[in-house]
Amino acid sequence: MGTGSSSTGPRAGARRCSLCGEPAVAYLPYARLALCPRHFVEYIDRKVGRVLRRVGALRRGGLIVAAVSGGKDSTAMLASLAKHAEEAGTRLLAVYIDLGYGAYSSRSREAAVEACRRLNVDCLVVDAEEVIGAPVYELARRSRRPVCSVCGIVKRYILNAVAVEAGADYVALGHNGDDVLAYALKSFLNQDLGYVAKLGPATSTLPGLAVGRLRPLYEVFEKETLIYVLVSKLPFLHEECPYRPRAPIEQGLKEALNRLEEEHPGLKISALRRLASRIKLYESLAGGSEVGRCRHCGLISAGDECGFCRLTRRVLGEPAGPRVREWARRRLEELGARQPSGGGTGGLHVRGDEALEQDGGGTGHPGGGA
Amino acid sequence: MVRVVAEVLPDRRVAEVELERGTVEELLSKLGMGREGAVVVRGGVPLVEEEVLRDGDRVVVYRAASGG
Repeated sequence: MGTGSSSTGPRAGARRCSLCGEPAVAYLPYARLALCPRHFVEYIDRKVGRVLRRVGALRRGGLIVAAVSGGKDSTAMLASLAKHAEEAGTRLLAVYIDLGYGAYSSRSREAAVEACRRLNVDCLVVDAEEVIGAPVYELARRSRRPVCSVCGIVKRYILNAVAVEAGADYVALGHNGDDVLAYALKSFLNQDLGYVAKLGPATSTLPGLAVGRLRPLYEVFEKETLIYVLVSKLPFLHEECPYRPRAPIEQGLKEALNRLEEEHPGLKISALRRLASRIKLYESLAGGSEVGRCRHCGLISAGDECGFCRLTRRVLGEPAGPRVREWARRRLEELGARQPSGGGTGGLHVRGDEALEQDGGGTGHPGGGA
Repeated sequence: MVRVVAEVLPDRRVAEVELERGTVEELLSKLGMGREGAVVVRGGVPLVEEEVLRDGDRVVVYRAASGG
């Protein structure tokens, strides 16, 4: 690429970095800044750092489980988080969930594992079919539910189970600012205001039941995560999941918001900051729903049986929660990554480029989804 | 007149586009995309919207907005 020959010079009409005068790779109208690769990466890292500090996510000796999918968002999240975690002395464990979606999954798995290797972050690959005992699409088919809905249940459950077993402080997700706004608007349209309460930069941990979620990219937009991975030269997969609906509501909401942002620069960042400041209000509107413990696996549940155990019990004849927890416990012990008391320091001596993967299943899929 | 070849991802669609001014912004508008929702890359380098493309340029257009 970049072939054309022209007498107008290599970067005709290019903007220059507002900070150093080098050719810019991005112009951010909401910040009135043009930035070169170096200053762009620094700018995004600063935004991520502010969010992490605001929620107190970085604890010396603490552990953050980062959900990676091989896509641009979780790759950017991991890259930036890794810098801040190293500085703060917080350990990181990337978790990739292989959902068994054929060639698409193999490519996303490859990208995720390679990004972890380059960032020197340990990566635990979870083969969903192996740990559950059936592939995700089979669970969906036999329960007559959409694949996306079953996939969401499986990803959330596995991430939480691994994080609880690892004694992690947080599960970091790749949700960017555009994702958060689209989820918030969708929840408003559905009048599911209780869900809005979960859309802050971090949610709380319920000890032994659920590990809090962290959104390092809360104030970073989708376009910015893309530029971040491109200029950082990190591998990522820019493909759509084969099971993705033809017209997801979230995408329409994002496109509408982007049109508004073009006319009113700063609208999205203000909306996100206001949303983050009103989370308590939405929590009170949600009316503090009862939190229970699943009678099978012991993790968080609305009643006495969690959604994952109910689904797998109906489809497979027995709830798969306990075996997923047992699998996670065993693998984390093998890796020296377990902190049973939730406080001390674990080993995590295995380097990112060593094989933390289990055998079987040459397939993969984004594991850090909504 | 500037002719460029644009590969659009994740759609995997390749379009030959004729541009009057030749800017990245014009390319995005011809492809029916806004500047907030896409990144145009030439030779691995992201381009800002005012950047002028050259006749014969091959670019990759990453559509940023994806479903939930």
